[in-house]
Amino acid sequence: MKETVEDRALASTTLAVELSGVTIAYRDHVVLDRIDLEIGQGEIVAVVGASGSGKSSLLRCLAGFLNPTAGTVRIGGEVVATAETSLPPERRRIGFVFQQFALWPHMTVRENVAYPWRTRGVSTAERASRADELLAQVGLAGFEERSPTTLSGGQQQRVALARGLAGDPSILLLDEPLSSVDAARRDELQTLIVDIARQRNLTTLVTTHDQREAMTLADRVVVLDAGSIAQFATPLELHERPANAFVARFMGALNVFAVTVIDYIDGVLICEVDGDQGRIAARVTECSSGTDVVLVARPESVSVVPAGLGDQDGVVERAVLVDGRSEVRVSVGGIVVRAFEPGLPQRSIGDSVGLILEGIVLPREDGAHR
Amino acid sequence: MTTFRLIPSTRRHRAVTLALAGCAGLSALLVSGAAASTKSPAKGDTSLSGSITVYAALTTQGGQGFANAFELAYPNVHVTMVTGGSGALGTQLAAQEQSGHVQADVVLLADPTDMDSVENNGILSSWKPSLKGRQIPLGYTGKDWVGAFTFEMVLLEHQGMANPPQTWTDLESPALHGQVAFGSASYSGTTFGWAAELHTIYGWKYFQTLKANGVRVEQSTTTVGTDVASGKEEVGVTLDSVARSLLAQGAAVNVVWPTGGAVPCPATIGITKDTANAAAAKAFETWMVSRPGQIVAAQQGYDAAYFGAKPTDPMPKHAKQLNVNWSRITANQSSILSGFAGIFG
Amino acid sequence: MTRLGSHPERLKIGVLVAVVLALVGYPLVDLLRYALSGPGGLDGALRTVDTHQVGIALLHTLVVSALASVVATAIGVTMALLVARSDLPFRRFFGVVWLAPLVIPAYVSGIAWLDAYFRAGLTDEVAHVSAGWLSGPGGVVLLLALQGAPLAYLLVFAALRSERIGALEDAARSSGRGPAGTILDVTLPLIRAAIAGAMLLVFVSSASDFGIPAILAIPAGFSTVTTLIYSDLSFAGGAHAIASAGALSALLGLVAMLLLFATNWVGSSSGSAGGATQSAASSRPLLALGRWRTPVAGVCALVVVFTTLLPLVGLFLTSVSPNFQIVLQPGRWVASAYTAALSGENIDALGRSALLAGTAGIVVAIGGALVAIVVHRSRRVAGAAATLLSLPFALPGSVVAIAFLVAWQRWLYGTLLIIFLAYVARFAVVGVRTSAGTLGALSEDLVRAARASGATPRRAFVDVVWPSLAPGMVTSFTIVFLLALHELTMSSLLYGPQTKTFAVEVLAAEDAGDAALTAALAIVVTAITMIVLVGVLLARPSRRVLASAAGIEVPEWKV
Repeated sequence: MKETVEDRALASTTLAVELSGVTIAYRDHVVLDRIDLEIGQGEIVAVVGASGSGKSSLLRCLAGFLNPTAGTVRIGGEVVATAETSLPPERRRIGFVFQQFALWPHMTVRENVAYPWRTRGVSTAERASRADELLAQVGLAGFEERSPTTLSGGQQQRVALARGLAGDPSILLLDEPLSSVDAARRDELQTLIVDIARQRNLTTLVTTHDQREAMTLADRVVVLDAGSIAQFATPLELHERPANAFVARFMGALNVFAVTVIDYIDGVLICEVDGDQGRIAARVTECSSGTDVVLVARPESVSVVPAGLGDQDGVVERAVLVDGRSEVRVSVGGIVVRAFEPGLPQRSIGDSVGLILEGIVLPREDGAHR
Repeated sequence: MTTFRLIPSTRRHRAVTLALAGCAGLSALLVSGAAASTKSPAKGDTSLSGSITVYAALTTQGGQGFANAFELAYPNVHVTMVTGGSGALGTQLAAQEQSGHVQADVVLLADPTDMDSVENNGILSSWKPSLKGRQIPLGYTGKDWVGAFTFEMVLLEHQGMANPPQTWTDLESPALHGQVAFGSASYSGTTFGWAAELHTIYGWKYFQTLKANGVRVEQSTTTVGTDVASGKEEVGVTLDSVARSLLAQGAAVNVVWPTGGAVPCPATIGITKDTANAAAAKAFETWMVSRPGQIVAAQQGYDAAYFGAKPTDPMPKHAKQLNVNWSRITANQSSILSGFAGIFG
Repeated sequence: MTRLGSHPERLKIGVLVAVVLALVGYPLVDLLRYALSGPGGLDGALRTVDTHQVGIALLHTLVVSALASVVATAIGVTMALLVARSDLPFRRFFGVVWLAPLVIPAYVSGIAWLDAYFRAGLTDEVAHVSAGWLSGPGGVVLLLALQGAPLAYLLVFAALRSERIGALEDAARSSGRGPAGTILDVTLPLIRAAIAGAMLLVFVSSASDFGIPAILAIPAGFSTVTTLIYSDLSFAGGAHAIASAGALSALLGLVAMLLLFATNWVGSSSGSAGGATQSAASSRPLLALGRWRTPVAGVCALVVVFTTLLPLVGLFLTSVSPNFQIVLQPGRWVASAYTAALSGENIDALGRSALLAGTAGIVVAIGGALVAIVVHRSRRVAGAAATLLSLPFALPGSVVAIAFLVAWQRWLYGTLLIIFLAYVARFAVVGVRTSAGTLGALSEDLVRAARASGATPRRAFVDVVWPSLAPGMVTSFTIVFLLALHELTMSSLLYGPQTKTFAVEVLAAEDAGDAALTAALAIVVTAITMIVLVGVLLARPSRRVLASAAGIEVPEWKV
């Protein structure tokens, strides 16, 4: 599936979504800062970031609930918003799925789903049959006459999804669609969203604060940091080549150190961790960013070896079972390095071990610390 | 605004008929009697026409009785009666005066103090009917008004009580502890006149004794009447007209005309300076103090102020009246009121 | 733009301001001008106020209202805990029956209690037991408290239904706390905003009530601010009387407004506790009464019998007994009072009152919703205007009526329109508050969802916002209909020869000393109220209406 992504992006002559220089600024703070974004037809894009990073604002700006204070928003090649003019949401042909479902309590499930067709003047019988079809697709056949308030969270979100698909939108926007749903139902719903989007070749934007969710469902991921795009890339690129420490950390690189390079010989970097914590050695393929850099090592790229056999020695502080593998924390003269090892934890607290870190070096940026 | 007048005024006719047929009350029957008696001597004066509005501090039936009788005497004049409490009517009139358009042509209130307030608000015309040839009781004329008929403050007792009081000072008897009620001088003008008069005769000491004797101060003379009728109280001070209305409804009460004398209180009548139909308004007031008007008043259970209005005057022959100086009482209204309030709260 | 729509709002705000000025601003300013126009102006007006007397009356009002609010809130909290947290048998039944005092006009319950318990009343006839103290401060406090208790009950009950509180109570139970301890440590602190709100509301409505003090306090020589206003106006109020009544009501209004604002503040700090969440009905009750279930239910039933049933029985007996004395044998009952109550002027007046109450209810419900929407969209100007709309509710009815007389009677004398306008002005706050509460709780996402589905702002409003407002509007209509049907003070000053209201006829019957007719009219108005309420409850899911009824500010049932 992944290999077709580039093809798909290239194949489409017009972009499904295009943002250029989109800024949303209030008097005292900037919500989105000069966002440039190009999304191809049928792409599934996840927008991730911490709360307050601007994910929801980005979606709302696309939907027309928020207007840019600068920049241009295009959907299907058509300009829908600039700082001066804005097409109202109802004329953008979008589907929107809200975090808290936003189902209308005074309407039945069928009436909720049929509503987008109702606004477009589709006859009662026609829209009812289309709504029932959609409900069957999301696995809610038989719930048509129910009041949405009587459904579970997962069921309500399926209804909301069906409503988002109704009216044949050109793009589907989902704002944290899984965060109000039981963990047990999340996977099913995620699969359902991806299947439906693929089946319809529907351009889809999903916001989430969960990087794993983003990695599993998206073709490409937008990482937002305080209103700016930190990186926009496929999950693989994010994993292999994070643009900066923020992205690296967000993508699960637990060992991120701001360091000063002391030496770099034969692919081994020796450096001093900021704050006089001590020295650490790591194997990196290149180091050309100067002396003040950020060292990133994913835990699965850290090898724990018998003492004396690694690039450095340390003491085991903790070893626990996480997601079917053991996470080992090793203190190297006070610097804590995390490593993943397959299988059950073998090591005891206080064991002396050797460590080999394989990582990458990134240039320092403001805010790359911590 | 006309859309809100959805209840057509034609229903009034049925309303009155039903009231006559169904409502309890001697007064309603008396009204038809009055109508009959005024009809026979004359065909009525047709020189006046138009309509007048009378604001009257009377019961609905009482007010309508006067209106019907007057319309018989002046067939081309239509009388609209607006009945209600003296206070509410006075407040309405004052507010109307303020907004520049008084709706009433004739004002008929239950006592001189209320009428003086209306007079002071500049609502009344200075025109008064001639009372020549009539014996005018003390205080029955104000600057802009005259007395219309008389209420008498009397004693009312629940039937079957052991030692019914015969006069005002009997109320001080310990035997009547907690069994006596009268109205509040702060709400009822007639009660105010009664309290002022007894204060002149007996001093505040009298009321202090009554207070110590557990007297209850009701809101109005009617409340006092119904409470005595129901047995909530054994003895009450109320109006003779209230007593008569209760008796007509079959209440188990006796009227006692105090040996010291009942306290008379004039109902007061005047015409407004803004009246659009001065001729008819003057005719109404003149008719009220004339012999036919006094007879109608007596038939409705009020005491005639003039002519004695025999043979229908409801006041018994032996009954005595105190001679009340209303001018002096109204002049001292605020000090008397605060004296009363000082004792009864 | 992100709010409910993008229409130019200026025109709507302009209309709102104009309406508020016509209904509130102009009449009250005109009244003020009038009050100061008497000899001596402000000085003269103030000199007419007997400061000593006012001081006593104000003290009485404050003490009586404070006691009533404490007692009412205690009763209301107990009732709410029993209904929402215990396994009391028939608790749903009690939950509805306990609201009965709300639907009985204050003046009716005053008369009814005297008919039941006072000398020569029902209990005196049957068992020679009577409560002479009822006519006095004690009776005033008791009746005001009973009148206010359902109000407190509704507010507290709504707060108790929040799911959050249930979970926190469970947490306390699992931490080893007993039921009583849990209520003390968790429940009561969590609903303290609702409790404080209830106390303030009962206080305000008690302080401005006239019906109960009129019947129970005046005979005992116990003055309150409202009875003092009444006595001022009783002496054919001229400019001075109105000025001093105005000064007194300004005093009362000031206290009321301060407390109303305090209530708003408390209400807003409590967050959206009114969220309609379904409580887990199957879960174990916090207050398991065990072997006390039957005795407690018995006590509850007795409370209903003594506070609601017996007074109404007393009232009924008075209405069917001939010759003013209560008769217990049905064979000697007479129906003449009902014949009179349901015929002639009385039935006409009943029709007028129903028409007035119905139109005022509809206009306030719909208008209130519109005002709430305009306020919701543009807070400043509209918000100030809407705040002014709550002023007539906090002032005594007589003052509002005089203001309308002074301002509007030269054009509207003797029409139902002037009474109608006064009702709308006085009760507008009910409609505005109810709808504002709904809008505040309405998620903007529901509107956005409609917009995303292709609905224009107008369409989204019609399809989503309006239906959400509907249940609250039914509540507003019901409350205003009942308030207006019971309304006495204003119509007794505003009626003309052809526009007597039913309550004015009740007053006239009382003035005429016809106790049976008065009682019969009171029974009729109570019965109609009951029928309307039952109709509304049957027409909609009852709990929702009752719960949303708790969302409005002050349903004070004063005359």
